[in-house]
Amino acid sequence: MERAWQLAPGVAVRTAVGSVEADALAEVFPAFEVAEVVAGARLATEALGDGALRVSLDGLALFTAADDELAPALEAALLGWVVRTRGGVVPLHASAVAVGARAVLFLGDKGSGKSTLAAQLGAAWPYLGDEVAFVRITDNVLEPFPKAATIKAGAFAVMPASRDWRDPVRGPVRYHAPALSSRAELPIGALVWPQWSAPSPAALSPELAPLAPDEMAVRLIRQSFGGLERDPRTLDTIAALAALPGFELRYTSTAQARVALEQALAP
Amino acid sequence: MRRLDPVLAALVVCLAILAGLPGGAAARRAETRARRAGREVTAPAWSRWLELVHEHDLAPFLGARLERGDPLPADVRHELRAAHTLWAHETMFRAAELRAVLDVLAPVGGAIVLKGPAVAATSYADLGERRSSDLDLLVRDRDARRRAVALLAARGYSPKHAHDDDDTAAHDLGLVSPVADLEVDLHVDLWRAGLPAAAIEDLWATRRELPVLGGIAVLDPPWQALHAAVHALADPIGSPLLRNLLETGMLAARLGTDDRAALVDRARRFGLADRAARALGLAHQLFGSPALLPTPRPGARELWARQRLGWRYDDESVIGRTRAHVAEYHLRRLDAAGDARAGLGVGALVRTLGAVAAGHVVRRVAAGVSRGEPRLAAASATARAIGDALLVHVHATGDVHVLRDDAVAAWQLVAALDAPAAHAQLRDRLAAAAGITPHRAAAVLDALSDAGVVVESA
Repeated sequence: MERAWQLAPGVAVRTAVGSVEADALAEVFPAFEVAEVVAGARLATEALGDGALRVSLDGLALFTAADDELAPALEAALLGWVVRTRGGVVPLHASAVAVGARAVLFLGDKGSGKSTLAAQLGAAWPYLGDEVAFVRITDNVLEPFPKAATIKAGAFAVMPASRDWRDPVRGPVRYHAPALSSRAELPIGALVWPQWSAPSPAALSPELAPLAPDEMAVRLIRQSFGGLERDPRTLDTIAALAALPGFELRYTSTAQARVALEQALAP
Repeated sequence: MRRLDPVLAALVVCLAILAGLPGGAAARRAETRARRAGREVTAPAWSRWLELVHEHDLAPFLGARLERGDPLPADVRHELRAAHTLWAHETMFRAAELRAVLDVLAPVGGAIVLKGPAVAATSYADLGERRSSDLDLLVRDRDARRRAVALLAARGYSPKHAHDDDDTAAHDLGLVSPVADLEVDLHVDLWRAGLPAAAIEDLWATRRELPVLGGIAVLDPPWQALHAAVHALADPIGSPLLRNLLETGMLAARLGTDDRAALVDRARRFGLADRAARALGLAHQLFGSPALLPTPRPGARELWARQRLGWRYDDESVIGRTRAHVAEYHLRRLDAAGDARAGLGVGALVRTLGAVAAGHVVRRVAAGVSRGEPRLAAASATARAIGDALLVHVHATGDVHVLRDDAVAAWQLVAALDAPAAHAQLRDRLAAAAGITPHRAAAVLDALSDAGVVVESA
């Protein structure tokens, strides 16, 4: 018996029911599991002792990871596969939610809080994904990729408890799949660079500061996978996105952020 | 063997242990010398040790195989582990893409997987232990390659260099996919110099099918070892030399009696014995792997390989750059002469050194003489208006610049030129067009030139 995940056209994996890799995939990619077993590559793990696992694809040994590193390793490997297979899109390092009939992208450096913000807003607004947002080049529409949000150690306290994983590069992580999740394609309404800070008397009040288009363009290029080399049309998409409303959001709680965003995005 | 750098010797011993090789005499001698001198090779200068690891592209191997009980400082182990992890994440896409590319190539008679993925699949524990930059595939002949190029175009691959077409004389042809960020090298031969037709027939006839990824063809073990040995010293200065030699040693060590005899037989029959013997001999001295072939008189590539293993390699230093220049010049002469021992004499080396130095002097003098009024032109770039600013993507560097105000006017002026124009002429035209002083206009042009948006033209 097998379970299968279809992550993109041509990117599908099958694993044995009850295997550690099936459990890890179910935690990271719950929205992508398919009922029918597809003709995808067979992913498997072999226990090597001392908690080490060897991951293989169709019998070819790929890498070893400790058992508590498996989910982040599969997440990174599969995301890389998806990003490097999908043409016709600009992949941005971003999380996303739907506000009304439009998508709002959260972009920013590691630790800025974009994953946690999207995961928490996902309790009220449809969650559209984390880590990567695919923007279709022909019409600048978001093709959502709602993998579970990757929560880093700094935000563990504000999220529901889940299994602890360890990423040798990013540190401890957990996964959270918001209650509301959607794969519906949406036009993009705004781009937001969040910056969370801990509540304290000295903390700044929430602020939504508009960004100039040229500043947004530079930031978008910095956060695009593959930069401008992937597709000569990428610069057109960046230019179109930079013309949308864009903000820097400083906040201390999701409730504050939500109110600020609702006000800014109100028709 | 010239004396091994003691830290490099420590790394060699570590690699031999992790690869299950006995360790060679050269490494053991260096270790003993260091111990007698009171310098424990087991506690090398870690920053230097790490430099060597990265220089020879060994971080994924070490990061995968080192255990928590090893005597490495925590930060060194973390760096190796992170390097292994980052590469490991690449392997799933690469494995899937390899399968997809092989499927595309089925109509042209299939392909044999060479180098990185093949060696990783047969001689390493997994792909994550061995980084490879490209997918190297051997196709039947130039006609098959011509058809393969057309088929791979549908998957987004196109020739890396504009002048590369399917009639290229090169034994390999690089195709790149910007979306996949990957290069596929289509070979019709294993070496630039070319194998005899009988050798090509032999390697196709003896290929093995690995039962992974639905079945992939690789060279049989003797051909794999021979291929690795001949390539190990191909670029003794710029390549991950130590990894190449380790791999040669690992491949040689796993050969059984019949395979060893087959390697020796093919090396002699197809004229590869001397080239292969040099790398096999070096691997033997470093890692204790079987030499298999009698060691010939040293060749120039071997000489440079030994030099590199003995010196503290620093390609940023004056000495490092000079060494690299001399080696590069010497090896170019070697290729032109088609003789593994060409230019090995002291006199030839002195002439080489002199030619390199003279080349530098001549270039500098020529540059000084020709430095008159610079003529400027727009760099090859894509520009898009963003509000009042202009976003310029310079193709040669990949850099993106945001131009504002006078810089936009300067770009528009330079981009509209039919031919490069003198700096002074552009300065005056810009000053008039933008309503700024000539001094300010010159500063704007200089800033664009510094950024590479505007380039000096010959």
